[in-house]
Amino acid sequence: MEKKPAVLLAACASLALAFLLEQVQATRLGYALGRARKEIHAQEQTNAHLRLRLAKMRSPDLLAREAQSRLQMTPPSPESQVYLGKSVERAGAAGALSLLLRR
Amino acid sequence: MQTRSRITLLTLLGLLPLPAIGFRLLWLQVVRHAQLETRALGETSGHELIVVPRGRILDREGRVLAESLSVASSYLDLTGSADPASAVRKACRIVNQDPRPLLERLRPGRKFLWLKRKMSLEETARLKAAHLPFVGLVADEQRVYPNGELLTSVLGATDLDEKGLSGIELAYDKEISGRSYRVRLQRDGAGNVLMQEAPPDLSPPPDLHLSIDRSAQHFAETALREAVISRRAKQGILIVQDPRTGDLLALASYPSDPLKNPALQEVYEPGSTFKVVALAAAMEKGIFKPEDIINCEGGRWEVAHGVTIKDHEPEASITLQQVLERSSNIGTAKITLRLGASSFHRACRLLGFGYKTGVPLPGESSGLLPEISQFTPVRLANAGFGQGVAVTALQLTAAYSALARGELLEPRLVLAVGDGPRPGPARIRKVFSAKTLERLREMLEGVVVRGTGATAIVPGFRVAGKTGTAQKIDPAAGRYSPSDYISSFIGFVPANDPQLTLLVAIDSPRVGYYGSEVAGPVFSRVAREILAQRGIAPDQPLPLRIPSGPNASRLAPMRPAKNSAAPTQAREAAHRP
Repeated sequence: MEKKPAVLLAACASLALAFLLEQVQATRLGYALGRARKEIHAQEQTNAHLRLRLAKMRSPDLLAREAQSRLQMTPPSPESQVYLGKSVERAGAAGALSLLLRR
Repeated sequence: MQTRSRITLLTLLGLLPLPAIGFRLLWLQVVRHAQLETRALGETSGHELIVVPRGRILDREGRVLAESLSVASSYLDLTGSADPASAVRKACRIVNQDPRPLLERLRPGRKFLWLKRKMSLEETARLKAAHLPFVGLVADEQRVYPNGELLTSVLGATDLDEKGLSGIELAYDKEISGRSYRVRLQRDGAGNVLMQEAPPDLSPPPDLHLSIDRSAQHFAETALREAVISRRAKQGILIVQDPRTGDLLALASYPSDPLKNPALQEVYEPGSTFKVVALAAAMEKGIFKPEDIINCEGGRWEVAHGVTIKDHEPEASITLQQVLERSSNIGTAKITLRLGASSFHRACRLLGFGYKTGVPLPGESSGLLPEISQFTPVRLANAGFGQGVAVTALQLTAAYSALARGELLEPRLVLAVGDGPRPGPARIRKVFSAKTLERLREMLEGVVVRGTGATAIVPGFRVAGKTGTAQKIDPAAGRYSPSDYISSFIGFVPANDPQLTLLVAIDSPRVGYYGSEVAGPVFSRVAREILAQRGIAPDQPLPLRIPSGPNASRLAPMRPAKNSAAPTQAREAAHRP
């Protein structure tokens, strides 16, 4: 009979401790989530900047400049152009090559 | 008793601070409540600006023409700063910025200053790492055009707050505009975010899909820039349209200015490129046929007392076809007078002159087309060869596209907003009969094969087009300038199945001035590049350069023509000196 209040007290204390631990864990997870969100945002920003940098590097003006200055390329003359036509799409890469060679 | 006294004493001692505590509580909770609550909230709660960047602008293939990035802007909060000038210098050093403009704006009592708007990621990281207490960061966005100057006059510009200022950016500002939200958040003592209010809508604004082809635009701008520079001209315009759909594939102007687009905002007298209107109307009405003979009076004709029309080459009696091929003003004036003001005016309206084309860019001009009653014989005769009327380059392109395909279409610049369905071409009306259009196409081919447009030949393709060398009005003198011209060429290719309409107009060239000399070669170059890029097969024999031997510099056909209604003179004419 005398043990009953002590058990009750112990149970209450355990419950309070569990609640406290759960709160601590939730807070910790909340912080982790916040950090992850921040990281995602930062990565997304970096990604957007990189995508744009790529788009800048693919701009026709830059490509033409690079092709002419670094690779010494020149625009093809009309007589050096060969039109392979729609048959290329059907034939695929190997077919295109054979078409080109045949010409 | 002693014990009781002690207890009483202890109780009294214990109760002694209570009035003081009570008073203090009253002071804090009632008197200073508002002030302390604000301070507490300031430390644990705050606001954050969340920015949803402006929508992208893409070309017809989905390639990025304009995009907004989430960036940060920094400011200085100099509240309580003992030495604001030193704080400014310190912050400027971190973001590699000259502090002098900021120091000039620093006044006693001024606490807020923008340090740097729209910083790069590296600058933001450096500033964050410096942990300067007087520097704050706020979310912002930055509009970026990855292709540099390409399409500037169409895209337009945005202001510092990313609102559209001109061009497409202004016209579609409502649709693609970004948003920003101020959301509340709760922090702990260390400044970590505990809770954040959910913003209402974080979905990005829709993308804007243009009809422009980035590669075609590049070809157009490069050729135009080179022509304007080499001809020491004032400016130039180059438009490429798909006459089947009305899609504008390239809309170039040089020098390019994001605040104006001369292709649709500025008007000019079209000169000889306008002759097709009167000729088509005359053939449609049955007054003339291409083979009818017209007396061109040997190059000088007095249309009214004291008013003489001249041709640049004296012509005697020539056919209607030759009037167009040789660009005779006298021949065209006679045809226009015979046609009459009413029919001529109707033909102009039919081809869209005097109306805005409806392209969704701000500031479009409708051109200047006189009313029927204003056409005196002299004005009518002049209007026939493109004097006394003013058009925009876009109107003229749309009109030639209509002549190419038989139907006037609204020039289309925007294909879709977002991923929604792309509407078909906006048809306005049919123009002229198939017979008239066929005759006109043949005549325009003749201009390139035998006439003034030989420089516009595109190897492997049949080209139909017209040159124009229009004198400009000298506003100071109030008459036509003897030295300023608009040199132009407009045409469509392949002539038998038009897929591209191109207009080239060069304003006030100082090296050469004939349309054939200045604009024709630009037309040829750009048409050739775009035809190859779009995979349009040649339908005429291509010239072949013989690699060695005595005939090395001569050109010979590579293979026989496929669908040869082939004007074989074309190649010869193209390589005439």
